[in-house]
Amino acid sequence: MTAGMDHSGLEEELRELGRLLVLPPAPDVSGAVRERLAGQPPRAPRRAPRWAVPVAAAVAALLALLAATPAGQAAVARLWEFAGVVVRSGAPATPAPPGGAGTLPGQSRQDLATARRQAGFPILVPRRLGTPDVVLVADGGRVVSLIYRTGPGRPPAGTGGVSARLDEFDGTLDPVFEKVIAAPDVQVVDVNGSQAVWVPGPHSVTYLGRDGGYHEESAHLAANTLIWQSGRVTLRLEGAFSLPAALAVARSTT
Amino acid sequence: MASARGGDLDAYEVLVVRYSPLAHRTAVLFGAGDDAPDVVQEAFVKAFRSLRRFREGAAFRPWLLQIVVNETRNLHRSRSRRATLAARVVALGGSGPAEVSGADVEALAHERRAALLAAVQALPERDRAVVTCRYLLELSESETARALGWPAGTVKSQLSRALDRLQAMLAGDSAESGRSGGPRADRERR
Repeated sequence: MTAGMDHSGLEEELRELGRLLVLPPAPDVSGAVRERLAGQPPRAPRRAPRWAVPVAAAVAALLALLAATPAGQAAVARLWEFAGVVVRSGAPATPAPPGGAGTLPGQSRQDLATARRQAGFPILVPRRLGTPDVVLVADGGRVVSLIYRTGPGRPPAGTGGVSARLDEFDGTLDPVFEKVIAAPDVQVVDVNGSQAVWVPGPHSVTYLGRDGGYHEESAHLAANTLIWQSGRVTLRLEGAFSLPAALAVARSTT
Repeated sequence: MASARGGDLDAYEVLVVRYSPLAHRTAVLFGAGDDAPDVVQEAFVKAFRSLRRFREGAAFRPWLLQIVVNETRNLHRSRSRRATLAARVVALGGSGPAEVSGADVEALAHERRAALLAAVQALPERDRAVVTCRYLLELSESETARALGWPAGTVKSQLSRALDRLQAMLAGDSAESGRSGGPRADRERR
């Protein structure tokens, strides 16, 4: 590499990376600072909050994983995204480049029967949406995505011709459901007797992630999202649904 | 500022509130990890106590950030550990439902950002510091110089080297996918 080459693309990517990083929310130190400056005895350094250790451990584990293959990186990112640690960033739907974009690392397209054999959990299918048009299995059967194109009983398609997407993840995310503290429009709702979360439209969310830490991020969902659990499986439905329509889909999922 | 210099805690509190988020972000990105709140608190206390030495007319922000960066480095020295760039790449979200190939594009963007973050973390210290200030924190060149305590002319050349190195690391990554980590062998100390 020679010095002085054009890095403007890379520079822009780095700025974007900075904006997309989710960091712990800044603490309010003004009271503590004032107390110390007002001549009161210096406070003992604040004890790390109880979740600090798990967070550090989770970050360390995560970064170790990230050092693995790019395929691993993407899979980890998506898994964590799923587990509720991630609120979506505001990236607009990216148009597919001509000729297609290849496959998601670690993800393969299967028919439903094959996917059922590969998945490490019972795949749930919402009766209300009919048969999925595309079934994707990722991360050794830990994540399954059902993709629906437009059709009867399905919401209008967003950009790209996809009407709805249901991601299923082998795992639960209890803390998220207890501590969803979010923009006023995020609702905790009920699906078959379990708590679920409805996230309509673009907004900012602060919530307790799977690693026990609070996360704050500006999110700009391109569509509405319903997250719920069924047994040991966590499901996320995305699409231009109203809340009642999304709930009806969730309740028809067996 | 003038009243804060006079010891007015009320006025100073305004500065504390205004600059806490950036100070905290800086501490985290420089690797303070869970100690970031303590670093920020300490930095504001130290900044206040040395307001006398603060040059009239200079900008408070980069001056404060320099204290934050130094405090974070002291932390590393005292703990003999260097927390990684604690930002979570998992924080990188995607967009809503898109075409299947669109989902792949989204995944590729994730992957690219993950690779970029990993590459930034693998940079030698000075490169990482300058990239963090200039791009992740979006400071100006002169603020970056101030925050890092460098001569003003150093930032541009260090940035250029850092970007060359990043580009090479990213090119190497895609050429041999599966290789872990980045080129750490040439870690420099200056």
